[in-house]
Order: sequence, then C-alpha cells, then structure tokens
Amino acid sequence: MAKYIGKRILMMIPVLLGVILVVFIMNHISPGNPAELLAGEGATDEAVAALEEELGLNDPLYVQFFNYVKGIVTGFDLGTSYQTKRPVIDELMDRFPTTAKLALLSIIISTVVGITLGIISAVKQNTIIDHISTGFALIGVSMPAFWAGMMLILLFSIYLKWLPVSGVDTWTGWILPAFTSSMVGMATITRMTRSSMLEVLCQDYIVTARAKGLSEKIIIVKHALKNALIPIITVVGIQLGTMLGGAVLTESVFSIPGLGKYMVDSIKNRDYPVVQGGVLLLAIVFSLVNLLVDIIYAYVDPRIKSQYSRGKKRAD
Amino acid sequence: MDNNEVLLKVSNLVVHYETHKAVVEAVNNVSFEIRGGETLGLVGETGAGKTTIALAIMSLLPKNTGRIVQGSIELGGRDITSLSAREMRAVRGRDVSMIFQDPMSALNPVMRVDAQIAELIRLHRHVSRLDAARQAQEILKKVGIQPERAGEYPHQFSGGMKQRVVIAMALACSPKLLIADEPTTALDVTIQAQVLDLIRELKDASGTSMLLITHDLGVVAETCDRVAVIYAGEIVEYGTLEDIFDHASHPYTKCLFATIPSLDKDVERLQPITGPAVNSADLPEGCSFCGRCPQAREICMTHDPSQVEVAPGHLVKCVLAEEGLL
Repeated sequence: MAKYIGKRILMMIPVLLGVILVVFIMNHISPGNPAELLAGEGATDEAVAALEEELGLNDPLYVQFFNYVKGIVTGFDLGTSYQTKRPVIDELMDRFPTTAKLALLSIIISTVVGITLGIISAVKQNTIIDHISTGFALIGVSMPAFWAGMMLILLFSIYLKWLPVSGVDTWTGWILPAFTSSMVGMATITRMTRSSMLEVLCQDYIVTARAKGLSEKIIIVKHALKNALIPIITVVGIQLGTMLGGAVLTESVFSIPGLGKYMVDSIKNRDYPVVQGGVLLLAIVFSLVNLLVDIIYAYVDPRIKSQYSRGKKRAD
Repeated sequence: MDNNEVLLKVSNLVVHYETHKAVVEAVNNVSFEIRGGETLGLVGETGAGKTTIALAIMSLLPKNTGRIVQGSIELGGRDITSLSAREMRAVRGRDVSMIFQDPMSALNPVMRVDAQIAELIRLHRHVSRLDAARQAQEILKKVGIQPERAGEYPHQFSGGMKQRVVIAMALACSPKLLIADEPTTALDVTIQAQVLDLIRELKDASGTSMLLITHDLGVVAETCDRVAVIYAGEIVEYGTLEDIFDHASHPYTKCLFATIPSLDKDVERLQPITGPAVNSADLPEGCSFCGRCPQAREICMTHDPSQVEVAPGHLVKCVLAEEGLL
C-alpha cells in the first residue's frame, strides 16, 4: 500500500510539469510586458529595461521555462503580483486557509445530509418521502449559488436578522456561505447515494443478510452502505477538489476573502502571475484529493486494495 | 427432534407475484411435509416456482410484488406466516437457514468471511465477540477452510470455497431446517459432488432437515428421502424416493426421466419435453401440463385434476390417476 502511494505521488510529477508548461505558455501569450506592468506607470525606459534583464525576459524561451520550474521547485517562487508587488505564493497562502475552511465545512454538510437523504430515498423508493428528497436534490443542483446565497441573506439576515449579511469575522458568518456552497454537492451526493444504494439493495448478498435474520437497519448501514460507498466517495472527492479551488460565487456574494474571489479579481485586473499561481495550486490540490480518494477506496473495498498491491504475494 | 415428528408442514400454499400488468400465479395450492432429519427434494424446471416456495418459507418474498395469498407454513407446529417481522427475524438464520444458488454473489464482498459468520452467531446466540469469532473459525474448519484463511475476503476464494463458506454460514446456528436452493448448480461438475457430500454430512451430524431444490435428478437420487415434482407451481407427483424413481406415474415425471442419458442403454437421441413451459401469468383452465403431455386427452383441456393417492403416501395429480388408469 505504501509502495502504491509512493508511486502515485511520483506520478503526480509529470502531471504538475504539464500544468506548469501550460501556465508558462499562458504567461507568454498574455498581452503586455510584465516588466512594464511591474515597474508601474510612469517608469522610465531604463528602469523597464533593467527589470526585463532582472526578470530574465531577454533569455531564450526554454531558459525562461527552466528558470520558472527551478523557481517553483526550489523556493515555491510563483512570481510577483502586478497589483500588490508581493510574491504570489504569499498572496495565495493568505487566502487559502479561508477557502479551505469554507470547503471543509460545506463538504461535511453536503456529505452528511446527502448520504442520509440518499439512503432514506433508496429505502423508501417511490414513496412520498423519496419524491420530496429527490425533488429537493433537483432544486439543489438547479439553483445557482449567487441567487440562492442572496435569497438566504434576504431571509436570514435582512428579514429575520439572525445571521450577518457578509464577512466571516464571527462563526455565525460561516453558516450561510457554508450552506450555500454545500447545496450543489448535497444534491449530487443525494442522487448518487440513492442510485448506488438501490443497485446494492437488490444484490444477492443483501438477501443473504436478510436470511441471517439481521434487522433492516443493520443490513442498510453495515452491509449495503459500505458496498454503495465507492461512487459516493468519487463524487465527494470531486466536490471537495472543486471547492478547495475556491467557491467563486459564494465568496463573492458573501464578500469572503477567499481564493475564488481573489482569482476572479486577478483575472479582471489582468494580474497574470496570480492567475497562473492559482491554477497551479488548484492542480496540486486536485491531484492530492484524487490520491486521497483512491486511498480511501482501498480501505472501503478490499478488492481494490488487492489490485493496488498486485504483484505482491497472493493469498492462494 | 424426533425423527417421526413433522418439522415443516406447508398446507395449501398459494403465492402470487402482482405487478401492474399481470398476476403471476407462481405457487398454486402446494402442500408437503418434512419430518425431523429428513430431506425433501423439490424437482422441477426453471420457473416452476421452486425458489418461490423457499422464499415464502423464509418470508423473503420480494416486498412489493410477492404475496402469500392463501395457506399456512407451520414450523414445529407454529404458523410462521402470521409472525411479525421481528419474530420472523429470530426464526431466520436460527431455525431455518438457506444456501443460495450462486456463491459468487451470496457473500458480502467488503466483509471478511469469518466476520460474516460471526455476525450471525452473535445475533442468534448472544455470545461475546470473541466466542463468536472462535465459533466461526470452528465451523469454517468443519467445511474445510483453515483458520489462516478465515480472515480473508470473498474475492480471495474460488467458487467452490465460497459455497463452503455459505454452507458454513447456513449451518452455523444448527438450524432445524436447511433450505438448499440449487446449491451445486453454479459450481464445476468436479466439485459438485464434494459440496453435496459436505452438506449431507453436516446436516446428518446435526440432525437438520433439508428442503433441497434442484432440477438435477441425479442430485435427488443421491440425497433425498422424499421427492416432490413440481410443474407450474403445483406438485404433480409426491412420494418417497422409490415411489418417484421406480414407480414414476405422472406423465411429466416420466418425461423428466426420459430426458436423462442412460449409461447402460445405447440411445441415439434423448427425448426432450416438447413445447415451452407454461406461462404462470396465464395458466390454462384444465391441467397445466396438458399442452405438452404425450398422454393428454380431451378432458385434460378443461378439467383440472386433483391429487390421488395411487399407493400409500404416493400422490399423483393427473386425470389418468383419477380414472385409475395408472
């Protein structure tokens, strides 16, 4: 298993190199001279030329690429923000914890609620309870976060005055954003859990479990759910990866200083180094979440685990 | 259990599957008994209602469609069709257990096999986790699975080994009745006999009665004390092993024997039963078998015969028997 994880981490290297290449090319085809932008308005030609030399912009392209990779590998150097003149890595790291906190809160909400609703709908298939929860799931995926977020603000902050309108200075500030960004995930997880459970519940081993005299509750939680988990974990992983990249709409609606909002602002301000750094961070986070998902698979399903360690001693 | 006491008594059992489109009359007025330690073979073609009878006894008919319309199932003198779901759960696995046809899919793929058995033991015997695990290992050892393999998952076993695990599970709580639904059908011919011997050995050791469902007359001959031949949800012939094998009376039973290749006779072609099996959603007015029966007469089309005792304990449901022609 450790060997498999090591192999997977090594395999992330070419993926990330590919991402860096794309990001680097993006840097080059984007309009404007970075040195001019960095030097600021009204800088003299000499100052710009000096900066060009300092940034290595006069070197051949492959040298520049090599230096870019070297910067990333040796010092996490993702360049400097045109806007703030601070290193991109610092800017990103200032915002990442906020985004991560929001992402974790909403993934917990959507997983707990989604799996519960999905199980209930599967067990009560085609009853009114099932229709209500699948209807809820449909509404959840259909409502855009900016609209749902504003409606929630209207209800809970403006009319009821229970929760703050924006900002995350207090814990109450997290409630609405976490709920808003969890909605799509909640709905997707509900639907996935329902269909996966329905498939598992008509398997022979569920009949075996019933024939043992087990109660329905134990059959569903112990026998069915564990078998239904693989596709659910996949969906949760994708949701988590996406949310860690920043919930753009939610962060904008609630004015949360997170990664998503910062990235959108940087695109608007043509702050390319920030955008590139953000994309790279997103790629790393996504790859790590994927790896995590694959490791969890192995702990849920022993058949997958034995695939991972194929080549080692087989029991028979 | 006393060997002469009736353990299971199924009387006038009628089971329907009801869908929006049709009512499938899967089991029609079936009655039989199994005594302590005895094995009854339920023989018939695919779709004859054999498994439905088993599921009805286990009270595991599909929730939305299957329904016991009429009849009673008495286990040790108690009608189990009227038990609550909770009471029935205490019966399943402890008093009656079942071996399923396909061992490949009958075990939970994400649970260790010893845990799957220990779970059952803990449920019905209320012993500690440790005792349950120890008992699970013992029963696995009895079916030929060594303790060092007991902690493995189903995918690490071959089909025959999995069926051994299923057998171990079915017999773990020494049930009074074991229902074996085509226990060897999904297995290689080479291990069918092994598995059958194992079932017989273990059931004899614990005095368990068995309802053996099969379409293989060879398996019946080796294992059963009594045989019920079932066609279109009805028992068409019922008797001891000798009654059925040496004095087969119903035309359907005779046809079944004619389909078996014989070692001592050199036959060019086997005799198939002509025509398709009857559709249980649309049973004919008269005898269900008359459309395929080589001895059918005009009266068979309209008259549904009742069971006639042609010899003590040997029942035949045929017009010919009614008229004393057998």
